[in-house]
Amino acid sequence: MTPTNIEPDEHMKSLLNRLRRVASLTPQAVAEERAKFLAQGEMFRTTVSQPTSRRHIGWINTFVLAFQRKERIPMLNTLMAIIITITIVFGGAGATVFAAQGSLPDQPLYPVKTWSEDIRLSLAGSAQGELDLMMEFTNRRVAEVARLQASGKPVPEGVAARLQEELNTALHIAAGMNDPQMAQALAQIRQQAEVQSQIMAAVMGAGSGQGDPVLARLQERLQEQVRLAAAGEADPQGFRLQVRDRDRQNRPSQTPHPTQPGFATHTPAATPEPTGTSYGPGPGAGQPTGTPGHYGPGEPNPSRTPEPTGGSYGPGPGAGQPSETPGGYGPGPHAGTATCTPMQDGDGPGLGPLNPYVTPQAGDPGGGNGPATVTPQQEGNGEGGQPTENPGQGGGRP
Amino acid sequence: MRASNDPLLLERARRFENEALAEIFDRYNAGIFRYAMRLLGDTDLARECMAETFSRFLNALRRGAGPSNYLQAYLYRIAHNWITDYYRSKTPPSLPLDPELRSDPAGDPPRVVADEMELQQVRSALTLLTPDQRQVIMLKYLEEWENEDIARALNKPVGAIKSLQHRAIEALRRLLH
Repeated sequence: MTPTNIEPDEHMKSLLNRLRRVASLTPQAVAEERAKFLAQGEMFRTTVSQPTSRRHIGWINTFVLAFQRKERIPMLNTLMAIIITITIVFGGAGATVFAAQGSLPDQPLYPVKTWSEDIRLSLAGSAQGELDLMMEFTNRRVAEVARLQASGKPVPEGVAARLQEELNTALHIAAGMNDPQMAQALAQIRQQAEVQSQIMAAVMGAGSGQGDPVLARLQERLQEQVRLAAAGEADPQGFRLQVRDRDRQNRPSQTPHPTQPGFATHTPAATPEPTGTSYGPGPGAGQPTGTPGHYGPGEPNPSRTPEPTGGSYGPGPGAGQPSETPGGYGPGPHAGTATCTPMQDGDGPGLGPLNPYVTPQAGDPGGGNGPATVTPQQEGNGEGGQPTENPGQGGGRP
Repeated sequence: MRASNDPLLLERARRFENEALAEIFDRYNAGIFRYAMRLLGDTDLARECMAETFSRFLNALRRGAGPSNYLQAYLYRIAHNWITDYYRSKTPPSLPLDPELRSDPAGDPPRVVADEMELQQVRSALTLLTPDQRQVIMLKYLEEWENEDIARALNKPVGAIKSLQHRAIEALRRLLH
């Protein structure tokens, strides 16, 4: 809006008019200032150096002028302060993250490195992207192990656990893909695990790596990764079941201890959490796959003996066909005796996904490992799966 | 009063030709001094302001900067910035009465003192304006520039100059009454 009355009143005009009458500079003073001004111009004219614009640095002046203002603007200053602060904080953080990427587990910046990896993973937009990141991270872990061993330092347990977790996650991501993509992903996982296993073997062969239990465990896990990926390429559906089962088994414990070739890992110190879900014997007439190691028995829990309960661990009727292969799928025959007696691979059905979250009650038919079927649709239908010739005693997992 | 527009003179000044520099000084030194004197009320300060204005102009030419047009607006902007910086850097000292007025035998001493106090009051009120408001008042009502010329001196559009002028008069009215 344009102001309508912008003229000063008469009183103000009279006051301003008083300023009109000012003394002039004396002619002598004007002559002196004129001489100074012309002398300065003369000096600039005869100066040796070229003007700034001819020295191709005039852009600096342009840059400076862009930020020069005649009048102080508090809001602009505040804004600039905020911008500068953000630049310093985030620029510094970015530099720190960048510097942390080459750090080792025994260095202060290593947590920043793992944190940045977690952030990158959470920002991945696709399963393939996540898989690529996870494989990159496993390569990093193996490289860190190699560098630590080369410098004569022990491999921290945390690094080994993180590597195993990343290997598991890679399998999990692959299991979530469709068949063609999964086949490609598993091939990728298998090839990389083979290379990593070779590197680990070389590290173990070095002086300080010999006899290191952490390295041995990692090597075993890498070899297991190769086997699992290869099996997944041959049987995608079975692979997905394995991964799902492995997820269940890993739920009570975050530090799986792969001691068996199969997925029946077990942590002795794990304390099951009650969920109320039970895996009763399935009625299904599905066929056993007969693949050794799949859904095999886990290690027993020597520190815990569940009481017999009703309904949770009952044997199935065993309507299926017996399997020639130990470690297949079938109900446990020992109703009411569901003690977690240690069993060996092949001792019985050891039907993998025993629910670890239900406390068996006295009088329950025990022992059988419920689902005992190949397909997910048959799992948990109540009437046991495929009995084996050697029915086992209870599940591998308490 | 129209601001000067002399690109040819500026082009010669960029080569530091003595005649061009002399012409620029002769054309604008009185106006710059007067402008500074009205705001500062001190001969020495006004002279220093004028000298610094022309010196900064030469330095700008040496850097390859400076105006390509509207030299008068450019010089007044330098002078105004110098005065603004002066106001910011120090509190203006109390000014003595003008010796010429004090020595005027025909003058009425009480009247002279009253006039000087009014002058001081106006200068103090001007210093309380924002720099842009102060420059608009000075150029518009004392130098009698057109709005277009003031806009060039302040690097603002004419509409903004009118708004500034309105706010400056309102602020000055409050300060003087």
